[in-house]
Amino acid sequence: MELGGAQQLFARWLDAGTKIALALLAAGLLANVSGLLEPHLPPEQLARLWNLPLQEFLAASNAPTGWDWLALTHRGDYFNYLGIVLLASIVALAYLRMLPLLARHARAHALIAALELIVLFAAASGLLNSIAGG
Amino acid sequence: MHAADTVATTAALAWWIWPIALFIATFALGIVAVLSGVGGGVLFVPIVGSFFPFHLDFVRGTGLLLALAGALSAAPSLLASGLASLRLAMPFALVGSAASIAGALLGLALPAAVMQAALGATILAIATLMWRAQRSEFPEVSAPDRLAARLGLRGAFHDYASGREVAWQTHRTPAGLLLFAGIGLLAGMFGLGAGWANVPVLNLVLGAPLKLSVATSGVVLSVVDTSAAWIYLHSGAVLPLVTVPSILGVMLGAKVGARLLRVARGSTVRKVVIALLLVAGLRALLKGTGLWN
Repeated sequence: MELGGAQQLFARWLDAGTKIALALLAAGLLANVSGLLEPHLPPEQLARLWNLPLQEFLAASNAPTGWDWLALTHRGDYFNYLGIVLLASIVALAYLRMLPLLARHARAHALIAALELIVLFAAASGLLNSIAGG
Repeated sequence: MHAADTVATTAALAWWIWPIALFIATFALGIVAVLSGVGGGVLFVPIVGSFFPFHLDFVRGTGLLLALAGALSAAPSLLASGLASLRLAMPFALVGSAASIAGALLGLALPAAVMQAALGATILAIATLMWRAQRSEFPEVSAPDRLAARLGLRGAFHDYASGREVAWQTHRTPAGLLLFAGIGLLAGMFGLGAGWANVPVLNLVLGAPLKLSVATSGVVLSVVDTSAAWIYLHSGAVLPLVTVPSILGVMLGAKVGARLLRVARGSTVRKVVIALLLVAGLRALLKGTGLWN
């Protein structure tokens, strides 16, 4: 078993997470374009702004940054963020899940996994955006 | 046509035309990506960035998520079959993911014209690299370096084409780490994915067999793109109406491409992709330098 079975475990978590995320994305798109959930930013208005640089777009659209989208998940456009954020979280969740296995069977790779989790959590926290002024 | 005219023209079209056009374009890109062995992100960013009305900031955010979705979908079966190696992917993914955060922050801070021109130059360089790239089915690695030995970067996989077990080991780990830092920086900066660079480095620099390199590249990419994707998400550079149709289009296209793989001529498709990259790269370069808006 490669890395004490961690590779197989990692594969299973990626597989399950990706399937759920893609289903959420499809459901979100349907809710968004069908008007089932009212959007935060109507698509007609979005289409007038999506050619603007990011900072100008944010100023004109009142779109959320950081984790502020969480308060808007009842809106059609930001309901989609659930699938997108899951997609961006799968690797970290899978690393976290296999860490104990690696610690028992492959110490060097356990250290690498722990460092990777620090990098991913730093990015996911939004802290690095705040430091960079984004 | 001036930039203002272009904006006015695109704004006058019904909004729903763009997600549909995006879905059709990414569906086609998904087919081409599988047939040519090129990741979707490297095609998506220059083509959509050059020919669609969305600002490059949003295109790059979507490019990363699109490459991530493709890599995450392919990785489980490759890892489960042993064709991809997590043991090999992890050290290089760590360096690449840290660098991709720096790349994403840098990309979002630089002026759009500079980014557009730099993207054009990078895409033209990638097209040249793809045109001239050599590959080695089973590179010769006489002995692993000290770091590779310490990390146990060796193993074996079953090659279904030849029906035999292929043992492998790698060397030149420090050079590989340095190169993956550069790849991560570019991936984060331009939202390109990184399969175009991962495979040559794994295969020609580290000495991993070609099939293992191709399969492991996606695992590295899934980690590298994840960290950069968070930077774009937190910045507000991910628009669901642009991102979701693109991801779904490319995923469906990839499924069709996988079916066509048996009958299509990969080398011909690859030449078409290189031609597409040259056109899109040139367009991005001209757009960035203000010569063709």
